[in-house]
Order: sequence, then structure tokens, then C-alpha cells
Amino acid sequence: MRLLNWARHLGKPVASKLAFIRWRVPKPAVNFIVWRFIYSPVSYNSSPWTPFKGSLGQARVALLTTGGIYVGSMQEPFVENDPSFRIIPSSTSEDALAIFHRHYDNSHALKDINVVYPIDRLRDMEKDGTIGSVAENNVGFMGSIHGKNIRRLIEQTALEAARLLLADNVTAALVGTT
Amino acid sequence: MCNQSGGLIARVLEEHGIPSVVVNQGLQQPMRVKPPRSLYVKHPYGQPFGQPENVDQQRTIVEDALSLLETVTEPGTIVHSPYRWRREDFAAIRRERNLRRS
Repeated sequence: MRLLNWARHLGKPVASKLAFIRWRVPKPAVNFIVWRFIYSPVSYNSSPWTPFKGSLGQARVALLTTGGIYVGSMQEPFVENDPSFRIIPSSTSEDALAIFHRHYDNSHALKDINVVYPIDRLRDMEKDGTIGSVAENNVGFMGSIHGKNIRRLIEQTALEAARLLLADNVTAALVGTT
Repeated sequence: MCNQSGGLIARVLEEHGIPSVVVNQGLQQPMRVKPPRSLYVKHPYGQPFGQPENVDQQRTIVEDALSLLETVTEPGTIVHSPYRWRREDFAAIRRERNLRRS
């Protein structure tokens, strides 16, 4: 019976042959292959390490986010699968910030930006003396980066962001992912 | 994927000499990417620091995340946050912490 079923596609046009193949391959497997090649998950065996020196009371903390946050009136909005970043000065008011991100429910973040970008909480901590200071420039990235742009993120844009933070004497970074 | 991007950014920062902490809402991504220090919170995607207008919750999560800088000694550690997203009295938690500190 199985052989007969297989022989059914032999004399048929290409489209129906493809349909036959599609029928033979289970859907979860196809989904997995699509996920593997389009979204390209990255994995590593070890992680880099820089020891944290001093105490939090003296640290200069920079805030990074992957929530697609940028200064609405001054900067270009993000596009889909965008490895570039926007510099968000820590003096920027909440109303000036805008979000471009289609991969999470940003209704909560639009109500209160501190949900993804807790700059007010860091300012409070700076006043309390829990942390030393907040960095002059914080960095907004776009999440949901896949395919070739992962490489661009690692080798180019994240590196530029790191240099920018180092020039500001940042000693600790808090990355909020969405 | 945002959790993955955040982990990758943290790795790059760490390689260039900035100690970094990541706040994650997923567990698969930090297990694959292995950022140096990560805090796993049981929140929905898009709300790493808690609910809108819940100052105490946001402050608690930020403090927890930054305290990992001092406490974690092994690269690639994932710390699970004990708090739930809702149904948690964060004002009481903050009060208790302040008492312990003073």
C-alpha cells in the first residue's frame, strides 16, 4: 500500500510532486529547519569575564536596552532587523522617547518607559548613593536581530557602543532585554 | 531573539572591559548565548523591570540585577529572581530591605 502511495506522484507535474514531498516531511521538522536558518540561534560554550572592581557606590552605570527605544524628535527610527544603535542622553525626558519594535507587546512600555528602560530608577539610585553615577550617554538597541545582521552586531555596532561607553569611563552596564 | 541580542551585546561589552548584567525573561536564550551574568525574571516578554508605574518593583529588579556585579564570581551564571511578576507586595519587600540595611 505504501509503495502504491509512493508511485502515485510519478507521472504527475512538478507542483504535485512538491506537494507529495511536503506531505512526506512532517510539519514540525519544516518549522524547525526554517527557525534554524532564518532566526539563526547563536550558542557559545563559554562566556567572557571582566571582574567588577570597587563597589556599586562608586560605579558609573550605563543602561542599555534592546527595546527599540530612540529619541523620537531627533533620531531616525529603527527598521526591522536593525543592528544599529541610538545614543540616548540620560538627560532626555520620558516624553521625548519613542519605541519601534514589533516583536513584543509594547503597550506597557508606552505607559511607563521604565518597564524596559529604567532610567528614573537609576537616577533615584544615584541620588540615594546606591550607585555612583549614571552614564552621560545610554544606548538603545533594536532586538530581534537575525541572519547576517547578528555578525554585524557583534563585530561592528556593539563594538562601537562599547568604545563609546569606555570613553565615558563607564564601569558597569545594565542590559535590559525585552 | 531580543534576549539573544542582549546577551550578545553583553558579551561584547565584557570582552572590552565593561562588566555587564543582563535581565532576561527567557531561559533558553541565556543558556545558549551565555552572557557573563544574567538575572532571569518570571515576567512576560517586554517587561524586564516589572509592571508600569510600580516603582518599588522596578527598583527591586534593578537593585537585584546590579548586585550580581558584586556577588557573582563564575562566568555565565544565571540567577533566578524569586519574585513573581504580579501578586507580590514590593513595597513590603523594599521596606524590609531598607530595615536590614540600616
